[in-house]
Amino acid sequence: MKVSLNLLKQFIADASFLNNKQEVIDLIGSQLGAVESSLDLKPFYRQALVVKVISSKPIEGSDHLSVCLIDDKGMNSDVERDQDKLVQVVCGAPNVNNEQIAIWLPPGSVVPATAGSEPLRIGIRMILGNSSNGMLASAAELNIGNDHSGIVVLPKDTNWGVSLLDYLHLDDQIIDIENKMFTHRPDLFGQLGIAREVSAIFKRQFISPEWYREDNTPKSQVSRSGLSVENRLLDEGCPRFMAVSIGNIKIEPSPLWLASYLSRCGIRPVNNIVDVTNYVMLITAQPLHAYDLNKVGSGSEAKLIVRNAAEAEELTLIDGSSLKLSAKDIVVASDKGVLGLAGIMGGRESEVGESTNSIVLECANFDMYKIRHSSMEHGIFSEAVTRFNKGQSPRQCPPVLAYALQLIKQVCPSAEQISEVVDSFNRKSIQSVEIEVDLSLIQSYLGLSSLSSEEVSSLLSSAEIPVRADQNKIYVKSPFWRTDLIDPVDVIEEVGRLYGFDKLPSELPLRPANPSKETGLLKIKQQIRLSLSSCGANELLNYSFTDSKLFENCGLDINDAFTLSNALRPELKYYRISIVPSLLVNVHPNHKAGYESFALFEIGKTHDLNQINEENLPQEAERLGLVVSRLKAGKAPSEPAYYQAREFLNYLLGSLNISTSSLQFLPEPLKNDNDFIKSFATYDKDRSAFIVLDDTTIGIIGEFSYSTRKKLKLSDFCAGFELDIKLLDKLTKTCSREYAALGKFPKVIQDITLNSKGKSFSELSIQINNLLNDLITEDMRYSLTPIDAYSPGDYTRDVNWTFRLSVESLKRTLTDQEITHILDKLQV
Amino acid sequence: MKEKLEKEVSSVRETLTKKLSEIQDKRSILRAPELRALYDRISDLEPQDKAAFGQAVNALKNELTSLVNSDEQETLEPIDVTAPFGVNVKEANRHKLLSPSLGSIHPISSELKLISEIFLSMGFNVVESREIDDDFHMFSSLNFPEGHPARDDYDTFMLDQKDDAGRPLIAPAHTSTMQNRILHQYSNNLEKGMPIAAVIPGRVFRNEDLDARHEHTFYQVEGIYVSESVSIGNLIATLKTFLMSYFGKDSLEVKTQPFYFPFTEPSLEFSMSCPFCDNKGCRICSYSGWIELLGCGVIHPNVLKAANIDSARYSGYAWGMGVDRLIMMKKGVEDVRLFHSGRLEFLRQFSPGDSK
Repeated sequence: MKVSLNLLKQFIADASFLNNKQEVIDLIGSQLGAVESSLDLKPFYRQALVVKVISSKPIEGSDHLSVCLIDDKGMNSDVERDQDKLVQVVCGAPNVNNEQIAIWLPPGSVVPATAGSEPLRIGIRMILGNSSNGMLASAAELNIGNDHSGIVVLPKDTNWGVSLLDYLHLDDQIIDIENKMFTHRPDLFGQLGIAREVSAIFKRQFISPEWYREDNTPKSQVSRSGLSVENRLLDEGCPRFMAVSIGNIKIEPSPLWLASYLSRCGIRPVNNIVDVTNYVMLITAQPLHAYDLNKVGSGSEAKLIVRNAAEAEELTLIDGSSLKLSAKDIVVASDKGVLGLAGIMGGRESEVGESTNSIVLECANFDMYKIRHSSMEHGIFSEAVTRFNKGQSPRQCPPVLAYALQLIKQVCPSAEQISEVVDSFNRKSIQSVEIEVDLSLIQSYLGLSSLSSEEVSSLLSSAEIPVRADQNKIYVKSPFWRTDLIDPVDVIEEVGRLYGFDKLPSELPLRPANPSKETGLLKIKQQIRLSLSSCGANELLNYSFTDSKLFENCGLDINDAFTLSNALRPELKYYRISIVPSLLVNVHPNHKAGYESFALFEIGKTHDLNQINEENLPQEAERLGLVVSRLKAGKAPSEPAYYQAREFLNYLLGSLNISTSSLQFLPEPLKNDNDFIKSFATYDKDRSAFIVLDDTTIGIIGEFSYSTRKKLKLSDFCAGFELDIKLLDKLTKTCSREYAALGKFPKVIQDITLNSKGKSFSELSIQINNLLNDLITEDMRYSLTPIDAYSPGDYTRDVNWTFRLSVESLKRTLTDQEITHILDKLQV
Repeated sequence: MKEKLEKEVSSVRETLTKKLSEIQDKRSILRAPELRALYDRISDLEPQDKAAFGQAVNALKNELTSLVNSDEQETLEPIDVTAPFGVNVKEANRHKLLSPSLGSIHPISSELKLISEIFLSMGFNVVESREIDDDFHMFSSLNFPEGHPARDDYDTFMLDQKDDAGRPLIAPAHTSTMQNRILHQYSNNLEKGMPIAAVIPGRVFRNEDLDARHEHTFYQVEGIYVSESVSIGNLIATLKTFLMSYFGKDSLEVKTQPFYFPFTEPSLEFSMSCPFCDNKGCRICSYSGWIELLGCGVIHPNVLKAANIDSARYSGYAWGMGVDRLIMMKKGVEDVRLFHSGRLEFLRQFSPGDSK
């Protein structure tokens, strides 16, 4: 939203404070809304002068150049002059002529239109033997209009020999305020609204223009009505529709002041009529539209219909784009067909152009939700949409239309109203409601216990909000331009803002001394981070989204994944169902970057399309993934990577104080064990296992399948695991390690080697433990730790396991014979 | 001549195929001297023989490559996954954990933890956010009516899948998506005369193109406090106290700007004096002396009502603070994209040991 300080000045008494531009920008920022940028126009126009062309003669040998003598009344002191004190300028514009009032850019000035990009500095040049001092400029070159077909020619009676800066009030500051700030303040999309706020902030009198009264309905000067409106959407879609026909229109370029204000506020000037509608919108925030009457009706008779579009009805807009409409779009139509997309953009067919001699001027109000819907649906974001989709006040239409009529007569004196003013409105929509607010509520919200009702009234009045106070109640009425004052909090916000939020007393809330806590899994996640980082692993974060290729490379099914419908890129479409695959993506680049050996881990949420939670929302699984990898440098490491992943797992469980005595590694899943079965495909079937503790599958561990390794360029030495953190958290409570009191009698320690005889390690150790439990007496306890494994052939079935057995009694000293007896039994 | 050459190739084929079945490192067959020698022969041949011979040698190489590849599927020998360590490996040669000096916690995790701890000490519970939510929590319960233009300010990722009401699920664009749940969860506090006080660290998503300053995935810490007679001054003091603690400062200046969020009224944008130059102006604050930090405000009564809290009796405040930029400023991280890069060069700068 671009704001011109010079436009604001018209509405503020004693506005000289606006000259202190930086202070104004700062205060607007702190009390109205964030300032996105700010532009001082003065430097662009400092040297430009309004001059008179005294003579203009074509140059011989040129088909378009003229040599002109201009009079600036000696304003420029730095230029060569003839004996009559005139300055010679060569001009290429076809419209240059004697006795014209024009705009001169003297040598040394920069063409304003080029100032932003590649500044073009004008000098003294010799053109076909004539010296040219500066140039006569077109509106486009001056950035004050659209016309570049010829130089600017001002009316004959213009006071010349003055600076352009003064003539067009170009000593202006354009402040761009973030639109976002005003989502709830439709009135602030007009300069008038901003001026009102700035007056209140600076405690100056706001001068509401004489025409800006709710009861200023334009007079119906014509008895015979040729215009009618059929508003079929009075109850939903179009609460108000006003229109009037105007004849004797002469389409011309706008006067320079008008074009210039539009230009500086970012709106392209078109012609006098269109420019007036845009200018009035700029001032009041109320969009208007002008139709060519001859295209709407016949003769001076016309009928406008406000209705929903028919399905697939077609419309070509002013900007040339063609739309296929739907029944959700509101259109303004004639009997013959659609004229425009209501509140968004007019149609090309009924556009006001050079041949227009009469118009229908519309000032209407449309439902913000419907406008937004159509705008999004068709991708049209016009100035009108920006304003209508914030919800303009229908109560503002009459004075806006009256003002527009007044301006049209000003820029087109021949214009005359040729119809009644038609006004179709929904009575409910223009009612003014009173809001009752307790003073104590305002005091409490703002922390100002001594704020009086007089102070509140005075603050609100400064923003022209009708207010009355009755004892400890404040009664507020919404002014006719505002739609955001509905609830007491809306009023409190106004009071706070006008008071200044930064001036409010600030103190911490008091609360009972209850302890606060980290809920859910925050604590265990932090413990995991501390544990794994302390054994050399690096935590990383990957996106929650990944691509279908990674699913494929890891043997996963994309049909299990939630998907984004508006992903930024196809690589970011699928929610993860497992953490480890993304970690695997990180392996190769890090090796390539020179890291030979590392462990990476990530804590993240995964989602499986088939799992929903108690809220009927996707179940969010909390997962830990870890991957260890080493480049095969020189000799291959002889111990499989699987066992290194196991090292990390053991350390982790230990540091979480989870007892691993019943920990199992199962090559096949337990029954009904779903969560990690899908991940199984990522792993090598002979080198991976489900991790089971207390009959719960808490995760999966292993090396990776051939295809995963190849496709993700993994080293041959790479393994990892993935765990369910919720289950881990449960286990820290149900399966924690317990302390055992130290024994008083010496332990007997012996090593024993046993052949696996076709059993796996776990089968073997279960067998030994069973035997041991039978052999020892109640006063004894033992520990059995594997310390070595040797196999002459089959690694899985024919292994000599060496265990270290430590036995003690809690009551007595054991004898060697007792131990030998136990060992003998085990050997059998 | 041609026949002789063909014979040469097939003899090598026979030798190598036999060898392949015998050796351990299957891939080394592709570097076998016999194969090398065939390639070397090409340059010595007569021009008319070169092409055919070359093709034949290439065919052999491809044949071997595919044999090696198909064989490699089984090159991982089965192991006993129930065993604690590998067979035939001396203890000294078994795998160890890596050096603690290499390990690291991601800077975002550690800063979120630090932020949470400060708020914990100030009496706020810490609750985690979600990564998929529904329209009700993301918008409707926060006073964003259906079709409201304020929704456009959140470049929201939508899912193909729908919620119960038939509306697309959402990748939350703010941690405020948890507000309604928190209000429900702790509403009993109010009857007991205790406030609802919680902070919610979480990952959020916006449909924004990546550059050095913008990420589609980033982190926020939401805060929410509800009690009887809460004032704007309480909000400002809470945030200021937090910031002083976070930056280890005895004093900090703060200022606000009016803003608009549907779920707070008044809504404010909150800035602090730059803690790196004490408001003097430096590179970090773009020489303005101020750093824009977060959005906050007094919770809109409609938000309390949506959680069945009596908005006539209770009021509250809330804020949502982006933490990525805060961490970038604090640690001097130059590019937001590094956070999700997975690069050890980045991660190990947060290790206790040497960053190599």
